Amino acid sequence: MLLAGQAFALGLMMAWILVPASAIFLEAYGSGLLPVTYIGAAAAGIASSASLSAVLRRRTLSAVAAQVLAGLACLLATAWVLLWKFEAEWVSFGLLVLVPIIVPIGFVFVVGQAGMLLDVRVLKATYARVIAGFALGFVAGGLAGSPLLRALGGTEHLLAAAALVAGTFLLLVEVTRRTFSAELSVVDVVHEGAERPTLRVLLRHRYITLIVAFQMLSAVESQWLDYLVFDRASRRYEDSEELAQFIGRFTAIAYGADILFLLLVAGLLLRRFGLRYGLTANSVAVMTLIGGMILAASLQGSAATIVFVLIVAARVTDLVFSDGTSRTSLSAAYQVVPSALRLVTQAKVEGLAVPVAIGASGVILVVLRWAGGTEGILLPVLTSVVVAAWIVVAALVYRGYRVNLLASLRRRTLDPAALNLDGADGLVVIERLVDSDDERDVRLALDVLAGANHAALPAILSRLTEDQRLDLRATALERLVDVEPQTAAVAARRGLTDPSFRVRAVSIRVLAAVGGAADVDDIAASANDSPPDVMVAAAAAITRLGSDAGRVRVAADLVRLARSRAAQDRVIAAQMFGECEPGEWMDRSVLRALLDDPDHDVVNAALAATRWPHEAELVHHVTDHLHDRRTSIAAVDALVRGRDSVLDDVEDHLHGHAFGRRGQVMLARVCRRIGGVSARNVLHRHVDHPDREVGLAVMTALAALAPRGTAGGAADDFDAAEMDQPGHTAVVRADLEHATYVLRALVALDGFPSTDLLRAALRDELDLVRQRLVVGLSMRHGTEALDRVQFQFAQHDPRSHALALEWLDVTLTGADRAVVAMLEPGMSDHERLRALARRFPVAAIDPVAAILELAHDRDRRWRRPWITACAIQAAAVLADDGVESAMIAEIESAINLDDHDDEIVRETLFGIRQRRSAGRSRLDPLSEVDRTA
Amino acid sequence: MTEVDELLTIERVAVLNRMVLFGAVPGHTLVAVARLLEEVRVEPGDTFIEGGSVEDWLFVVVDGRVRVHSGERTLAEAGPGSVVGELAVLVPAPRSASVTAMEPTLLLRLRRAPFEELLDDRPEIARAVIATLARKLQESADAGDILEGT
Repeated sequence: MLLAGQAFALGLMMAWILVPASAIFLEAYGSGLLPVTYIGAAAAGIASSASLSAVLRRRTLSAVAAQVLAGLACLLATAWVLLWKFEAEWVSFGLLVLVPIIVPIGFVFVVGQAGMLLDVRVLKATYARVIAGFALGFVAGGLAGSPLLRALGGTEHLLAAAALVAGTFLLLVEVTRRTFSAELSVVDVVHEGAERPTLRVLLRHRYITLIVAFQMLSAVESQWLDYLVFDRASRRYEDSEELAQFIGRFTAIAYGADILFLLLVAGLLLRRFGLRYGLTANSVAVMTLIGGMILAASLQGSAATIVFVLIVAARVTDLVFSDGTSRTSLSAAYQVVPSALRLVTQAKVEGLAVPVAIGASGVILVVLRWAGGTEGILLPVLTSVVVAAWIVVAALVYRGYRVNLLASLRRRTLDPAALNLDGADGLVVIERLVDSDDERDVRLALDVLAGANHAALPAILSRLTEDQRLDLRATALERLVDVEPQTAAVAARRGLTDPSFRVRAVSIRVLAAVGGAADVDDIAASANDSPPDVMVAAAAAITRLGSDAGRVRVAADLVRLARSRAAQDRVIAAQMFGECEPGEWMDRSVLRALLDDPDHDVVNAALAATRWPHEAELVHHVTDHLHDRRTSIAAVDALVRGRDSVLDDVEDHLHGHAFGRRGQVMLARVCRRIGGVSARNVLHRHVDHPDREVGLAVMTALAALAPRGTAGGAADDFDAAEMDQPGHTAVVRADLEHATYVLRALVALDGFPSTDLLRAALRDELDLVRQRLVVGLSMRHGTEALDRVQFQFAQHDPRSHALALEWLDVTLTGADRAVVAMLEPGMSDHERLRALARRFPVAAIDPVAAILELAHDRDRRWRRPWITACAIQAAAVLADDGVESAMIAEIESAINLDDHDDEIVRETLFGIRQRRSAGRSRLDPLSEVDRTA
Repeated sequence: MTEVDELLTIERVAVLNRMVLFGAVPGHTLVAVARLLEEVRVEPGDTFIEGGSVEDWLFVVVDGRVRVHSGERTLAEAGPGSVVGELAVLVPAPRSASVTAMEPTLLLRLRRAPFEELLDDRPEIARAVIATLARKLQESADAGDILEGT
């Protein structure tokens, strides 16, 4: 109300400045000089914008508004005195120059406060009413002008009234500031060292440039349409009384339509069709009318009545849509400008860019008049070109809004500082880290050097291979082999006699990689009576570097260990399988026995040893281990190493329920880690898996394989359209429909006694559907975007919720839009059901029918044994309570235990039958929960 | 104190579902926890928790009424739905008070060892329990902040 009041005061003040200023100016100088006032407005705009931007960086918006309005009130009072006492007609020129400046600056104040007080969704919904205040004020000023003039006795006295209104505006700003002091106390602080937001700096931001272009094109178009109306009207109505009559009717129709549109439909349309409509409706509507006007002028001449009617219609449309859609949409568009730049951007755009555009439009009009007049179709054609450019810019602003809205959802992240290793100081730091007692510091130093591919790395690693710290010797050797193999080989030969078994094992592995046959004897000697890791490393080195006889010896050892009764030996055998060079010398069938070993450590070692394609025939032995948590991780790793060669088997197991939920969830993980087109295709074929939890795992895997952001960054083999398949849309739609049924059941059971457990089960189901919907959207819109949306929803701040909802609003289309009803926090089940039922109509249902539907699941809609069991339990409790005794009997007779292979359904129904036959009842423990506990 | 077997698994889930500790665990997942529960019947005057003893299980009162006391001084009375020693299954500690049945009472007992095995086997339960504990911690921290602020 306070903002609407401020807008009303602005409209009223403008009417009482414009009427006396125009009348006095036209009487004194004629209409020919009007374009010169446009140029003067540009100069004044530049000056006011510069000072406004500077002061907004130091003081709050409310304080700046108060200062400006106080100054304006004084200025108007001075102008009134000059005109009244000294008949200084030149003052009217100054006032007309001020008019195009005061309106946008006034709106900077109103919109700026609205942006601080309202979130973006409330802003979109209510802003039209605030703007209506301006139109109402303008009309009220016009209507009250005549009686006021009669009462005051002179046109210039309206300026005194305008000065009083400016004071009232100031008062309203002050009341608003006191009412919302916390929200309005923000200053656009520019941190020391940060770039000063000059217009040039702002224009480096593409989105801000687009907003500037949008407003400038809009201003030029409005100015020229306004000029066309008055130019053609002055030719059409030569008599001054007729002209005045036309202007009166035109103003009444334009502002009447404006007010009706703002109050009745503007907010509704904006909520229904969103920002894309809001930004483009004005330009498209005006373009249509101007196109018609040019066509009519070409056929019937510029003076034809139809041409004049279309010009007037275009101007009225422009005024109505400017206030009702463009201005509101642009105020929302400003909200995604980085907050540090927002107010300055608004001040620059409204206070500088718009006046400059008005000035430019004035210069062009002066040139046109000078070159040959403005009565032909040249000006309408030029206007159509400007409007065409405006349509394009509006579409780009909308696209920029979506991208910037996503950026607004981003939580703050720390920028990693780059470490400069070029100077001696950097190396001193590295040396200190290398000498640290904490091994983590040494690793950090080595990581930094390796990351920078620094020339000092080999020397440091070589030095560390002889370090006193045992673990570091092994670490250095492992790293050195990658950067200087021959130096590593020398250090490894030295390490074969190292007292540390870890250093010995690493030394053997290094020699296996870069050594030669001459090292085999030393390797074999160092492995005698050594711990398992050294033995495994030595066996692998011998099979790589040694003779056939050596390999035969290793093969015999391997078989002996694999058949040992000690699990530790079998683990070593499996590790040897994994590390030794494959070849005909090795009996790999032994690995099958190790994979079927009863000891999980042996199985995990065997899984780690599987090689593809050598073990292709063992793939089922590997997948069997996906079911057990103790072996599932190693089984996943093994399958991932198989890459595309295992995908046929993976897909076989993903079909239906036979492989079990846990195993299928792991298979989805395998596909995710394999990645690539083939794995994605397997996943695509199972997004509609009958088990919703498996389907969730499949969709999660697919979403993880989609590009992180929404704007590029995809893998080379990734086609953006891939994630937008009809099957995916159908899954989201099916989930939304399922959510509607879950909500219907929840609403039906709301307040119904003895159904707590059933309602909890339904709420779990709703959570599952919600997760599936989020992942379903992530597949198409990127996990990053949906992560941010969820993060914002998790905050306790309505502004964060509004931003997230706004992103969903401008991104989702068609049936997907219904997802908002599932994600928006704070909605009741009834509200969510109402919203979803608009797209997925469902008949209301009573509690008994709901329980029966959940227990029978005749349509196979639920496919959740747990929900079935809970429905049976609820029916049994209700029968015991004497509320609905027939229901449980109906369920008992309808459900055949042989049809249910799920243990919980069988146990529940069996237990209830037994109790009922024994005449006992205990089905709802805690039905009388002690609330005092 | 006698061990009995009166409740169906689904009824035990109904009990667990009301516990704060399992507030974030879906019902169908709680079936696995429910199968670990032991039913214990105690008679009036039976003290089933002794103050000072170190135990690693919790009790849920399903039916009946119990008295929490320190010596003869009654600290509280509790009925169906009350949980005694909730955190003992996660962090065993000496019992701070004794608990005695006031009337024939049915209890459910959850021991630490099988519960830990289950947490190993079903990480989703561990995740949900961690989420609940984290939320409680956050609430406590928020409350502390408010108090500090005042």
